[in-house]
Amino acid sequence: MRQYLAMTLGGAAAALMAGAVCSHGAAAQAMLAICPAGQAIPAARRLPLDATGNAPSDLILAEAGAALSPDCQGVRLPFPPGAIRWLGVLPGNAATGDRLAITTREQSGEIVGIEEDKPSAPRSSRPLPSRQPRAGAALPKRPAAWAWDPQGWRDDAAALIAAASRLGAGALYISVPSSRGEVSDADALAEFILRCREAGIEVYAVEGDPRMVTDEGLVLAASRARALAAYRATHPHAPLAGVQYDIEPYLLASFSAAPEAAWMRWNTALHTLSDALGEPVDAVIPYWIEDSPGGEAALIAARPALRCITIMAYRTAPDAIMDAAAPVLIFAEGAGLPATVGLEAGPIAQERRNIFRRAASAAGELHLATLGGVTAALLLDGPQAESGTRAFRKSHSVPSDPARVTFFGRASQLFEVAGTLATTLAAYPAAQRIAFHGLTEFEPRKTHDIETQEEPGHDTRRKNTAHR
Amino acid sequence: MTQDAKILLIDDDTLLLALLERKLSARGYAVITANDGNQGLERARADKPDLIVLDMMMPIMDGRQVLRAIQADAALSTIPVIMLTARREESDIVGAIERGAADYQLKPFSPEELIARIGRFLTRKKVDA
Repeated sequence: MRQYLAMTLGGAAAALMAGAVCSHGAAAQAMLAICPAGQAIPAARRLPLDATGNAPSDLILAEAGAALSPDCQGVRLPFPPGAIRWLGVLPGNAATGDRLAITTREQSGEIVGIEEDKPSAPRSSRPLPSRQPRAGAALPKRPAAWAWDPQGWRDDAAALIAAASRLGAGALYISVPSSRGEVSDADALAEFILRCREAGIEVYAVEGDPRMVTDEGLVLAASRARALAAYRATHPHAPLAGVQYDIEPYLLASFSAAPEAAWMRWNTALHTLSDALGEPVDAVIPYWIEDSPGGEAALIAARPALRCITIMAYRTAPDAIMDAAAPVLIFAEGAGLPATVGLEAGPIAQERRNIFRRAASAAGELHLATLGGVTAALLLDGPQAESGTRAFRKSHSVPSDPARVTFFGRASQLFEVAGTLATTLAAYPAAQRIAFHGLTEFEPRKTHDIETQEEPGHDTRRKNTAHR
Repeated sequence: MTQDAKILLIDDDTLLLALLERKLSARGYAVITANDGNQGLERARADKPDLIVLDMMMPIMDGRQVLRAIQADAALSTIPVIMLTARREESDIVGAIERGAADYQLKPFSPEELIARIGRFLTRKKVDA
């Protein structure tokens, strides 16, 4: 159970005792509260929280007059709910210094998240063993490519195999839909796998959705895993080479507030899915997993459930890719895990980083309020003064540089970089192959055509976010 | 190995509970589960398990309170309790051991690691008996 701490809002922000109802003059004010998850409190905003070792709870922004149950804790804010443009939670490990960054989508203005704005630092303080490339060294396996759209292998297998062959690919990661506990089009899948085998291409199933770390999503994902296991039993002549899970728990809204809890569930999900499949799995991980609180511990705990890992090194410059991938490759080497290094070639949304500095006075557009160990961020329509919060003023904004992250379908540039990397990566014993994500010949659908929601835990869209 | 032993799992993390229940059942253990401390204590009193796996942080009644209640109950106090804790602070671990926990397991963990600990305690219990 969350141990609610003393409220830290002082000054004009009066504390509300649990269960109290706001009295005079409170109609225009907002209240910020933390309550056990799912309580029926009329809320202007509600954010799920799930801190490590604590019961699920919600951060609630409501009218100050709203009644709270006894197990809630709240503080009154001097702003009306309508003046609060956005409510977020600062990551639990953020030191909350003098600079914060709010990332927004360039086109829609949608707020992606908030974090401390810190100068780039070396990724790991741990010294890494040197790995000197040998001239002419090569990776043991040919490249791989993702082909998320199942129409590719179902409707035009020849074109997909031809594209993979042109790439010199040794593996494809494909989506394999299932229904009622069985792989859909199982015979067509077997036929595709056999044709790929003739072309020297291994076929892996891939799926991924952050909701796989939720109860409902994991039940569905485990059901699909059992369908894949059943396929293996009914089509032993055409087996999948393995199953890859690209879960991305960091895309959940609750992740920033409680990354440890999300990584714990990620570990549980991988063990559950491996059990359901009856074999270890390939887990896709971001290169920054070791820097994420609880990420490394979860990866170590997940080791028995893993056949290999795929490190998404969301960078385009060879040196930057190696900086990203090398620490995880060293980890993989120590853990005896083969590793694939994934590069991004698909579209990503243009984003803008809005920098806020600690205000000299109490007035600012962005206010931080600490409640129950959670640091809530309140972005207002305009600067307002509040002595009980920490106020920040907007300083400037910087557009992101997607070319740093993705090759944007520029296959020739991608292959040139991959060629350079192959020799460098070969110095790392764990590195097996490079994989290409988002190449247009493998992802025939346009971005605006793939915004369909599928059942929880089975998202065949690509999620080109959180590339950091 | 006491494959017919009865194990009570008390944790509010339903994903983890389901995974452990499946893994332990597959090894022949009889598994009882509870989602909170109150329910867990009731099940302990009703079912008299051979071993309890108890999460430290839970709603309604946390693991420390459950452990205290177990230790105070003569019918339950000899049951080995393995505490699950996400907290790395030494004081939590030492405190749990001092309050009578037989062992602890830090979260996150591989289920096989916990199962090995469970097996060790149940084997020892059988030898002692």
